[in-house]
Amino acid sequence: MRSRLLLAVAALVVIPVVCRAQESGRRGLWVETGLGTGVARVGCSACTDVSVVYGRTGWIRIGTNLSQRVLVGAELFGFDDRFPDEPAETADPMEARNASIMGSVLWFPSGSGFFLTGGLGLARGTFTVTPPDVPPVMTRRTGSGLAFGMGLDLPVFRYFAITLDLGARLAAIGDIALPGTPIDDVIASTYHAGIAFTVR
Amino acid sequence: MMAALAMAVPSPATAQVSRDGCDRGRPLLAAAQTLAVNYVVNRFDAFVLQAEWAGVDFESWSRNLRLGWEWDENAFGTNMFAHPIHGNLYFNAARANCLNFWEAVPFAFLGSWTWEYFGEMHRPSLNDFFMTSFGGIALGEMLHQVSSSVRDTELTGGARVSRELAAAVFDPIGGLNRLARGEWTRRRPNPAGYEAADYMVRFAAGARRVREAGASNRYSSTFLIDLNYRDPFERAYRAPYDVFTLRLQVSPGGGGLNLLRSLGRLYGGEFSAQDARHRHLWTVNQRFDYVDNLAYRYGEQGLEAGVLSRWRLGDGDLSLRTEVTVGATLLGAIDGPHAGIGERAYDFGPGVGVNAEVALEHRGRRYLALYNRWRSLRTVSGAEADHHLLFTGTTAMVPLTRGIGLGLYLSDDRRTSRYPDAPRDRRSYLEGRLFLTWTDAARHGGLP
Repeated sequence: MRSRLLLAVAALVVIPVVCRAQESGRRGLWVETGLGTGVARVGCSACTDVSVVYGRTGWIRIGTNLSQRVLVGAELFGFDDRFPDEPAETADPMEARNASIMGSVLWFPSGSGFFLTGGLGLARGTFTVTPPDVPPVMTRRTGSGLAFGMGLDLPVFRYFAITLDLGARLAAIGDIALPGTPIDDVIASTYHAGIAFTVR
Repeated sequence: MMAALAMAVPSPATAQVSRDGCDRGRPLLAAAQTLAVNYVVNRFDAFVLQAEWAGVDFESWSRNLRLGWEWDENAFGTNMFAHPIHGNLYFNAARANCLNFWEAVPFAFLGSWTWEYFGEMHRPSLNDFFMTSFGGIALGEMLHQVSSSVRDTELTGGARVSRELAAAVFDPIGGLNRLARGEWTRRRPNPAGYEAADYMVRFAAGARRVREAGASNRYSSTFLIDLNYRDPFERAYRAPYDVFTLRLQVSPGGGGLNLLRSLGRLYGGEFSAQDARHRHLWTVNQRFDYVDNLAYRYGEQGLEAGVLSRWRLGDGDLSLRTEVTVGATLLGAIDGPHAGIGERAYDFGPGVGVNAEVALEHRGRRYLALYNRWRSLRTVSGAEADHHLLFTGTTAMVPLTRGIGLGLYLSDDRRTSRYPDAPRDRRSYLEGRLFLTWTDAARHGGLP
């Protein structure tokens, strides 16, 4: 117990110092790539409830800095609710995958490794719905994407950090045509938490 | 486009942005004021205007958090014009607390997000979130700069207070912050970067003729205000919106507010040397468009990147200016016969666009200009459609006397809307304007 406490105190003391050390190195090209887990909530204009699916996330961001605390770049993000070992009989009545490519901005409001991020661009959603007694129906649409989140760079070396990332991504993809039941103005909101390797 | 921006490695020195003379930013106070704006506006709507939608409670908050985003059915003017005005209050709560442009951006989103979830009983509206946030940033930064230029912190007495009052009209949140801190009377050097002499204002008044294909001509009076803040060829990039333009057109009896258009430089640089005979700049701009005329309604929030060139002609001061940009429409709105959902009569969607312009100018003043803008929108809310728009126009100016000129404007706008299960909708719209202009001549050599 005491050793854990000492470890926590040491972490609290050391991390801000190392984070500040990293700030001075935050210039030029940077890359962040990570994996995580997430939940997608799919709603529509006339929906009285949302469909919820859980899955994996992955992303890569690359960019440069405008200043010590403002970074800009491009981001590729994906969400997939299919798990390789999932038995077929436990499959959800709806499967959702979405991917987005966005321009993104990272803002480090203080000297620490904490940052806020936002992005916008294109999003593509793939939905497979399995109505009762009917073969699965798959539909794909492309629309607007919007991203928000926050993160924390935990430096390992001067230019290398482990990054904790929390975020939300909105994919506004329009109407989905299902047999007999078109769904209007679909918006998928994906919330994710992940961990990334970062060089900046 | 952002990827292209990311590939350019800027000089950190040029990327530094102003804090208006403050020692440090106050993000917590900015966040508190952002939320306070929502509280005050909501309570005003609920108690004074008796708006049903403003009667929020824990149940509405819970429902909004559970169901999430939708697209709303509000009127075109409400969605595309009023929301950016609301958003500028959030942005300027941050600017008033010494945060720079980029640092203030998250506060526009914070204010808009919290309003959508907690300020209205309706489900959060994604189109409102886009328009309030991005429009608020564009409008907010321009109003912040205008108000900062109106103030003169080296004055004292009535002249000083009257300027503070005038500035507060443009930036009320900034004005209230300054009042609370006793800065309406405190004498100090003016913050660098805000020069009233850098603005060029042009008023135009005249007659307008519009005609939609197949319809008869309609005539009305029309008034324009152009506000140009600096010339990108006269000033190297320093900070976002260090160069911007704003145009407002009103036609009494011809649709009222016809046009509000702004373009602000977010980032830029130069390919050529500053003393080169022919100069070429690259630029990344934020665009805001609101068009509501007798033939169509169109609005967009967009980003664009491109190249501006100035080609010297002969040995004098005559030059040809060209501009080519490509851009993304983050969210556009356009009306159409099959458009909208419910009572809404227009579609929402993202898109792409290209702008091309060529102008003949003398000492920086334009005498002849031709432009062409193409837009393609794909509906994500409304009737499933692809909308293609082509705006073409020309302006000619003739100087008459000091500051006064005569102008002629002609435009031909065309649109095609393609629906998967309905005939194509094609429309064209012709507009002609003949007008007198007055340009803020004292500082600009008496040219129109």
